[in-house]
Amino acid sequence: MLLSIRNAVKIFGGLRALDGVSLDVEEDTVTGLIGPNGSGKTTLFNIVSGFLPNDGGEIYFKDKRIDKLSPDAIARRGLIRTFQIDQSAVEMTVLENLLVSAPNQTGEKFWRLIPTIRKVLLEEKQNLEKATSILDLLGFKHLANEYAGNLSGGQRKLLSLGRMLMAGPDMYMLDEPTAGVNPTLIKSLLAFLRKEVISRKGTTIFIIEHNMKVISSICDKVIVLDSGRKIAEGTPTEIQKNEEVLACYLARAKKPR
Amino acid sequence: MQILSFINYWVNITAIYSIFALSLNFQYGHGGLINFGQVFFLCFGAYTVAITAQLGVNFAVSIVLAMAVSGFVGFLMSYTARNMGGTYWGIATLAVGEIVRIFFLNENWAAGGANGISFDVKIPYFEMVTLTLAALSFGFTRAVMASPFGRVIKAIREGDNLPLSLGKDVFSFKKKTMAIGGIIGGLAGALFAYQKQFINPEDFMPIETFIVWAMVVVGGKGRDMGTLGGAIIIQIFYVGTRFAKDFLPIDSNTLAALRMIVIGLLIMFVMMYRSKGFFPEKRRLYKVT
Repeated sequence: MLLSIRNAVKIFGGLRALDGVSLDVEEDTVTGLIGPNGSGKTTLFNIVSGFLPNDGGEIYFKDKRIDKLSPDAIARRGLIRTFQIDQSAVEMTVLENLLVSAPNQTGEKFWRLIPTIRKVLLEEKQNLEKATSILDLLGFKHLANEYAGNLSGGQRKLLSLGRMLMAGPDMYMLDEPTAGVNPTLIKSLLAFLRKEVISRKGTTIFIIEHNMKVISSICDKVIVLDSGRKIAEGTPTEIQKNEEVLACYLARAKKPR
Repeated sequence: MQILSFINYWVNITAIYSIFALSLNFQYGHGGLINFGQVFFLCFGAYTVAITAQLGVNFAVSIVLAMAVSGFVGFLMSYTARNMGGTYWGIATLAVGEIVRIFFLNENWAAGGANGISFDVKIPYFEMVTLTLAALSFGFTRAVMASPFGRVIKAIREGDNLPLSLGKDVFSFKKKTMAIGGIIGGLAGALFAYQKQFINPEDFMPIETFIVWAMVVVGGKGRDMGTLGGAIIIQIFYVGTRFAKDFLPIDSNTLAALRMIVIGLLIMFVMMYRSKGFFPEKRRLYKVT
């Protein structure tokens, strides 16, 4: 099991945003996380990636406990997330956004810049090549030196995937990659995900998504959250037939008895 | 002859303030750290030089010591940035700057208190030294910003989330940004002391921080060349207004007050019509094949 969450609890004031959630994400699979608004999906992502401390439970990544680590330490272990609200560095160019994402750069250690200068230059060259090939995949070559702030919302979502590819994690956590993206671009985003990410061996994806078409077309397994609890788990087809899931989406009160 | 010694003074003070402005530009322009207490680097650098020079330490050694002390102060200051964001931290740094000044003002044993401290060690070819060190500081910040380290601190300028999610230890980068800024600022302080041969706490009023901020903002934050331009422009206004009393019927006290008004107006003009400064930041262009 690549990621395993045991009884995660998160409390905001009087609200139990996560109320003992346990779930597993297997290696080399795509696991979807769905649920109505406010069901705790993003909170779950935040505590897994270390951006919020959890108030209870344990989280294991590659069989090691990670729930007391800082976000950057978790990222260095190979778990990289995207954000629902775009976090691109808008004052940097598209290419710089990719270059900064490369992991373990020797040149990031300031006090060792001079002694390792040759290695740094070599790495820069390699990273530039890698970034260029990712620009190619994204179809962004003409935008390489454009400020990321000048990209459209949909293009920035693609750029966030590009940054992840550059970082090359063991597990991708995508928080609503298609929210606010037009249907045509969703198609190309999906095609990109399938062709360039999912098809790679050893790629594990944990994805929050509202678009059921996206879920059913890429997910091996779907987990449903409601009011901070896991209410269902199964293949996309099973989930779509699950009555409790339907009920939580279509207000329970109206359900005929 | 008088004009020659004046030009000499102007070149020195502009070079020193260019170095000082480069240190702020490194922290704020590149690293996004809003430091309103920048003057404490100048203060620590200058006092380190004054104290060591009095003890007869060689000038080169005392400059290196000043840089080390100031860099260490920056490193310590960064710890307060851990749990304080942006502007709140800026207010804290303003307070620290004042605490440092008032400490030197009231503690007579430390460095003469209000009477200040004077020494008699001169650096030979002082103009050459200041200009060379200004050029070196400029080259240094440019080189750092071209490195992967510089790229990360530039990303941190826009917020912690992205770099954190990519596995960058943001706090450690902030510590280094403060330390490097402190080292450069300490160099400016050291030269400042050698220029004046006498320092007292009056030299380190918050207004000095204001002036160096004006240089960065007017020149263009995030661009080292712009910072140099800003330092030159502000120094022309600052020092040049002294001549105005020869042409205008105003006494020198009014003029000193007027000087700050002029700089304030300049900042307002820049904010309204050239919000990115006279020399806006440039992106780094890569050749993509």
